[in-house]
Amino acid sequence: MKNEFNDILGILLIVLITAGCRREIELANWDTDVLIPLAFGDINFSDYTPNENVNSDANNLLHLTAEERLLSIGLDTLIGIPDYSIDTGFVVPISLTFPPGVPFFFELEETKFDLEDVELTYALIRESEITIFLENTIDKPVLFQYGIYSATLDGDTFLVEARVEANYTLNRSFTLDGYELDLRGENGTEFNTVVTFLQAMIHPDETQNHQFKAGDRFNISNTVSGVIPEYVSGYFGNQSILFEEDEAIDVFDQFPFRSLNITDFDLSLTIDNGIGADLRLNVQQLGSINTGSGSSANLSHNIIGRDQLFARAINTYDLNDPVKYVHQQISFTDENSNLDQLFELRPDRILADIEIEVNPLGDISLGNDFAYYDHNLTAVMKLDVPLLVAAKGVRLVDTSDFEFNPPEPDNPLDRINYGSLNLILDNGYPIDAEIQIYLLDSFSNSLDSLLAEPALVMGAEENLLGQVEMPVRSIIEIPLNQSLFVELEIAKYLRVDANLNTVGIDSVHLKSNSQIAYKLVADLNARTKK
Amino acid sequence: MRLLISLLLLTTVLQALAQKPVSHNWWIGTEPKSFVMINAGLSITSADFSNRFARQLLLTDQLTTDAIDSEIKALNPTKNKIGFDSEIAIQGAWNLKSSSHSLLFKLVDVAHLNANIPKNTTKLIFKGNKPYAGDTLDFSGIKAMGVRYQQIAVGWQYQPTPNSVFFALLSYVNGEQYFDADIERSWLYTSKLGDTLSTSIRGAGSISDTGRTGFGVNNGSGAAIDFGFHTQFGGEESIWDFDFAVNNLGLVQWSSKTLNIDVDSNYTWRGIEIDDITNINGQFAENELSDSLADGLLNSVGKTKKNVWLPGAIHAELLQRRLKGFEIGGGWVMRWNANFDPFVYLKNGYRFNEHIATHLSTGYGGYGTFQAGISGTFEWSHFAASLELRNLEALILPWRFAGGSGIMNLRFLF
Repeated sequence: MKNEFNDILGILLIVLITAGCRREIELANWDTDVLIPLAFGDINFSDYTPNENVNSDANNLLHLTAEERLLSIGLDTLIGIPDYSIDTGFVVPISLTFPPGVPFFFELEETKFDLEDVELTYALIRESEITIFLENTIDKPVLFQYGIYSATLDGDTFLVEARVEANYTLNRSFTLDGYELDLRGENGTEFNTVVTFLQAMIHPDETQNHQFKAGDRFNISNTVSGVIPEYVSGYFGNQSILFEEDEAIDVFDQFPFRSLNITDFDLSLTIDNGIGADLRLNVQQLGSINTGSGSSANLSHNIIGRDQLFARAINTYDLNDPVKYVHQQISFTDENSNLDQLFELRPDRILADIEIEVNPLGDISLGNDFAYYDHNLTAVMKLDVPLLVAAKGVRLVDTSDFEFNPPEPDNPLDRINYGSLNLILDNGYPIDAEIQIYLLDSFSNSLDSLLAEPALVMGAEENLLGQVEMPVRSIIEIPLNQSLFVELEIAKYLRVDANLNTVGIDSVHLKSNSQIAYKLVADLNARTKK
Repeated sequence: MRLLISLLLLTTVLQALAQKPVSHNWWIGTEPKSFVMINAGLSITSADFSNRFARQLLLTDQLTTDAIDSEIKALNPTKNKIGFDSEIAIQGAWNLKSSSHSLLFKLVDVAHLNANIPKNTTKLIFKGNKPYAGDTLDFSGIKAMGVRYQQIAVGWQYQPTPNSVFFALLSYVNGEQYFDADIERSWLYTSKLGDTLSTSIRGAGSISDTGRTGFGVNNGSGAAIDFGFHTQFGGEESIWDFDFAVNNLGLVQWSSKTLNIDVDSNYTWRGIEIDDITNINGQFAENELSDSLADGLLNSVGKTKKNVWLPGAIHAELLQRRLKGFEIGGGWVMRWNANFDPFVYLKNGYRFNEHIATHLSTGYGGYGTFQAGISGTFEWSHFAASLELRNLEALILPWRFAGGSGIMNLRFLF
């Protein structure tokens, strides 16, 4: 029986080992032809321009719009109140005895700002800073008093009292925010003048007199800085200022045409005077420049070099809406200017030389010129270009970083025998494009082109109303094979080279409801196994 | 006596010719004995696919376009069955003190796969969708089931008379691996340019825990019973044996990690929508394509337990047995949960002497149509062996039929 059992056990072992070692079934490879839609979407011109710069009208025609502030002259430019300091002090010449609370030093001082021709009589302070430095060299605490008689807030004069301990110094800061400044001086007949006083005494809390020795010293320093008025009035003088403006504009940066033929445009220069003074404005030069290409153009228009007089703004004394502006608009058309040339070069900078003369007729307001904070003289250029464009032979080159990482480890791309990526384009724009795509190495040397021949993407035809009735389909085949994948791995940059031509002879309409619909389809002959 | 035993062994071995890899018959002869028997069989059968195609697919590195085209041409539009069975078993009987009672045991490793693949499915798999651009390819009717399990069975055999035997076994089933798919409706439309794929699928499928694979792993458990009887009648020159057996009547409960998928979807795929073409990399991430497709198609995906009947069988056979000369017989096999058509067969052969015999069988049904097999048996008093080759039709006409089956049987008597 034991032998029988051993036999059974042995046989069982053989069977189990055999069963456990069955070979996995491995199928042969075969080649199969597949069509796989990979991606789809649409390209709309307005998607690739700043939204704030492209708008469509009722007919879906796109307009390129831009608003650039060429000039803004305000209080800080016309009437800058300078920082000023008062440094004073005294040395006791002989031995003296003073009781507490009796001033041993008093000084009243008028400070006149140097504002050249400007003669201000009143200012309301928006921001400012006052710093005071006090030095006490005696062995008793001293009470210093500093006041600005000219500055009042709700009827109270600006006054600062500070106790400086014996043999000690003190630094303190204050503001004059919200204070009214009467700049007419102590007699009320001056201008640009501030009246201040300083006073020092043995602190009244002391109980004993103080015996000053000859040579005892006190130093006082007072600095007013960063004064920004909320409102000023007076006479702003007869001053002439030349502004050489250089404004960067980015509206054309993402505009996909390297050159344009703009056939229609609307541009205006709006000048708003929010300053209570008469002004003379002279636009000496207005030009544009494309720093990339180096091309530039200057405006020809009757505004150039001609004086424009602006009456003063009106003071309503309403804090919510204190100024009634004087408004003037200058229009530029293709008949009265060459402005199209300024924008067809896709400028990235606008240059303007503008001269401003204040009160060209003198003090005809009898010292009642005024200016509010943030109510300036502004010159704003507004551009509206309906995208009626003609582009012939425009070459668009775009190089971008490229990285091709085949998925690991089971790379399905290795199974591709041959095939193509088919880019199906339904072009709703009346623009033809001849496209080639190049692979570049890390030194920007061309490795290969993705397309055997440059592909022609046909543009749609417009009807007499400037409307595209039917998009035009083009199919671009990008051949795929294993050698291409090798080149794709080497490539570091992808350069798209497109030659654009608008369809027909005349300008075409770029509309918001037009688009290029694209579909990407893989048409492959592939192995089932690597 | 030795001759008689040999004849009885032969009978047992021949009963394996029944469209299933092996037959676990317990009849040993008029005198109960202890024995150990090893059965190993492999069977692939299809009347619709061809051996030439299968040989290239399974045994070479490259399937040629010609083989694919000729295979597709020969297929039935909707019904193309293929069945695969693999089984290795060791079984035995331990006669209790030379009485009419024996204890039975059986250890089995089974793999079974069946599938029905419509013609258009084959087209899609082997030709791709490009040849059908601008058209709709209806490939409804895919069915497939595969299972691998191991069994440990114990049972009892009772031989009340020398001419009759009853047996029954109860087995524990270790479910190793399982999958099924039943696609009632499926079609694919490919637009002419390939920019649109539309598909409609209704069906369901399951797959056992894919994280646990390997021989003998437990992804499910179940139980099954085998039972049957054998009887003899006739005279001394010509004895007729009648066998009836039910195998693998039972089920397996696959674990809660079994993935069950229900699909009832119409889906159109145009690719991934690119909102910003200047940032295509971010929107075209790896696996985005397959994930998007799966999201669109799958209605319900979940992991739950699943009870599945084993692909069992009922087998009945009547066979003549003589001392020498020509023998005839026939039988019938039915299987459930195996996508199996009833199979009937006739068997005839010639017995040369007490040690050697050969038989031919011809049958119809199962996973094919006409099928033929040949077997040879060799037996001595304590050892018997048989070797059987089936699906001769696929060897002779490899461009018309597919299949190949081999069964080895070794028996040791004590």
